[in-house]
Amino acid sequence: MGISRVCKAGALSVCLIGLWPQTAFAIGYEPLPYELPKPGTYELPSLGLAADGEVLTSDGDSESLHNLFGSGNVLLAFIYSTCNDVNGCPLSSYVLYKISQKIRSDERLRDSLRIVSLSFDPLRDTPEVMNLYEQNFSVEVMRDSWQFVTTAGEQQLEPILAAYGQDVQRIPESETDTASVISHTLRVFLIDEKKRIRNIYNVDFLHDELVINDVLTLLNHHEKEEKEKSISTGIFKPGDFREGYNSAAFSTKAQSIETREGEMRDLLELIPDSSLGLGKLTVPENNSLTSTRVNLGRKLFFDRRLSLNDTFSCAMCHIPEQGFTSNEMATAVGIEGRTVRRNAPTLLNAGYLRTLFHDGREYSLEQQIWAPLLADNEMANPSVGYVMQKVEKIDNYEELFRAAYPQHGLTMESLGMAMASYQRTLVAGNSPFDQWFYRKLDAISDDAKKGYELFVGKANCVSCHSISAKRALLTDEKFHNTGIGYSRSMGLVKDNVVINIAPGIFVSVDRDIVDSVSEESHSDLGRYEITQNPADRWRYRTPSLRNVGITGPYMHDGSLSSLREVVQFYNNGGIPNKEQSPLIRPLELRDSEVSNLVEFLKSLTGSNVQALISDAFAAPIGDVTRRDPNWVHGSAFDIR
Amino acid sequence: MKISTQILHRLFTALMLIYLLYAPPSIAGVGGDFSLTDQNGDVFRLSDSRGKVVLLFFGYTYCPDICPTELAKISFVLQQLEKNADDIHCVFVSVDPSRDSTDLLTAYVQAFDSRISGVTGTENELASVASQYGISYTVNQLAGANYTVDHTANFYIIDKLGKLAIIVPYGFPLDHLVNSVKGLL
Repeated sequence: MGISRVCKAGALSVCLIGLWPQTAFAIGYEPLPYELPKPGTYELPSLGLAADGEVLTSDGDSESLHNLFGSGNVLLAFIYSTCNDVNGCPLSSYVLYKISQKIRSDERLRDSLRIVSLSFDPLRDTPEVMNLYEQNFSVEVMRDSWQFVTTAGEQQLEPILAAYGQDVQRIPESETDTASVISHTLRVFLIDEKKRIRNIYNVDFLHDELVINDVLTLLNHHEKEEKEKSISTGIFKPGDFREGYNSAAFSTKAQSIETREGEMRDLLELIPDSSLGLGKLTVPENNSLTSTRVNLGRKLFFDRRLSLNDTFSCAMCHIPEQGFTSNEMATAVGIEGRTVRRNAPTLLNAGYLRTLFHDGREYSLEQQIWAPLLADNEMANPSVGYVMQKVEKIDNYEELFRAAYPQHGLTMESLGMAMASYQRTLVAGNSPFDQWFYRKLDAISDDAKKGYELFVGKANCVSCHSISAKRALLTDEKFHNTGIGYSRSMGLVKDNVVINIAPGIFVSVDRDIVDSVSEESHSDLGRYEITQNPADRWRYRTPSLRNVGITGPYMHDGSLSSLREVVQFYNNGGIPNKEQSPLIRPLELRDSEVSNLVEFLKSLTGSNVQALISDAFAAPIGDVTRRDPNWVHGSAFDIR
Repeated sequence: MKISTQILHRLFTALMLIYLLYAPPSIAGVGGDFSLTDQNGDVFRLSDSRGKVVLLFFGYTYCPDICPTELAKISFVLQQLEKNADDIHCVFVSVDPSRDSTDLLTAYVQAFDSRISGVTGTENELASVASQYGISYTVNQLAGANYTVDHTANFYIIDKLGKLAIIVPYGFPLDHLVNSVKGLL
């Protein structure tokens, strides 16, 4: 019931509404004169972090404001008990009371919204007085829903008022009276579960329906986020590439060998067209690109005999139709199912990179090949000599090497050179983005263009994923700590692991059970392992974003399965830690902006990826045959 | 020996007196008994209302806005709780003794409900009550000899034992006030 109506119902001559100094009642006392948008259909951008401070509860206990806020949404109102401007504190009491009644009757609000009234007047408003305010709800279940708190004195109060921009004026009264009149502007703050201010209501907007609508909007957004989190792999979950895997309609992108149809191409011919946006491919002087060398490299790339047990080729982690990486593995799996710490990087455009591996430990493709050949959890060859002897005995490799590298023949060096040659041809530029950016063609959607503006502007992705007027490699090839490596090392994991056991089917499993059957995870300190510089802990190389739409899962450990998760990860400011790159900070992107960025990232897929896949499909797979000697034991027994 | 005991005793009494004179009101707690003068010129003592729930409000008869609506609310509370009206004592304390004569106070509160007591006191007496209840009032000089008084507009509900039980902030709806009084009956 509005105050005006009470007055009319009251005594005759004294009802002087017409003579009141404030004839206009604030909107909060009346029914809302306009219709509100549906909760959740609009955004409430963060207005900054709500400050903390030291307050006294009604029990007289010292408590931090942030602790009081708890883990849900909070309405914070500043009050003082002697306030009597009808559109000031009484308005806030009136509206907050209505909201408190809604909290009481609505289970969803009861769990997620609290009211905190903080006094401006520590002198009069002692904890005891605050307790007498709380007594209004002593008989009700929702006592904790509305807390009245004060401060120990000016010293504690002033920083809080300053942080919340509450301009308070104390007007000294007569010399005999120590009390003072406080004048202030009415402001009620809506603070979310992450302690961010999401709305500030003044006298023109403080209305119970409007506030509740905003709270429901926050709840809807929050629930949506949680839902997305629960069906996605999250940061801590080794995730297969699961774009669409949460839906029962998912089908794998992999094709069985029998169904593959390919067309062998002269890969060197493809390069000029496909390198738009990438610039000139630099090739070492002693390893110029020739078709003979490329063809030899390709043969080696698909040859399973290059592994210890003749089963594992390069192409089994760098799967051509999966963006030359493995879309279905967070971290790679080597021979006999051995665990590899990191995600297999795409080989597309590897020829343009000067730093190789996630920790940048190599700089040339010629040398790089020996790492997977010899790693005991990848192709597991015991030595260089073992590989050389084996290749010498297979098919006509010696002959092919003599043709490709007449000066070398088959050597440790030329083997790396041949493999490097094939990888250099995996050029995948000339993407829709390149056609738009460098050729001014209308090749990308408006959303992707907006995404580009965010990429180089508000989100500032470009500070690491470089774009220049001549070329856009989309990496600075430097090393940064996003926090993912840190969180892994620190074991910041959830108690439960949600596992997508089949398309559309999820089970939640206790972390202890998962750990008990998992291989113990290897420590991973990133760039530090190479430089031994403590500042390099958990730094990893910035990957190129070219073809990022087809090279998931993402991050050095494949822990993020979709581009949206990646953008959201950066939007949240990564995972803070002492060595985190200062470039990574919360971006305050709206949902629509996240979508625009994802659209932009999808426009980076090269024009000739299909041709490269088709060429790969046409390549013969090197498998053990009866003709191959049994080199395993140097014996004659022949079971293969 | 006898003398020293006497000295100690006197010293103790003196210290107690000093303590009682200067002790801040917060040590005694918010609320408590007080004596003022009612609309008939008789002594009004809050403790005389023990056994009743007291609904206390501070204001003044020249009050242009808040007091009339709040007094109307008090009258509404009495109507709603008609059956228990004998157990409820509504007290309107004027903080403007220079203008609010007993006659004026009587006419004013009677216009709302004859069961409301209108009380006031000297400046000192009122200052003491204000300090006890943590309320404030400030004179705002207007043009001429006219003035308004800004004052705390909460309701103070005192239980049957004379203890301040609830402070109802100005702005809470009428139903809540009724229920709060009812809860203490």
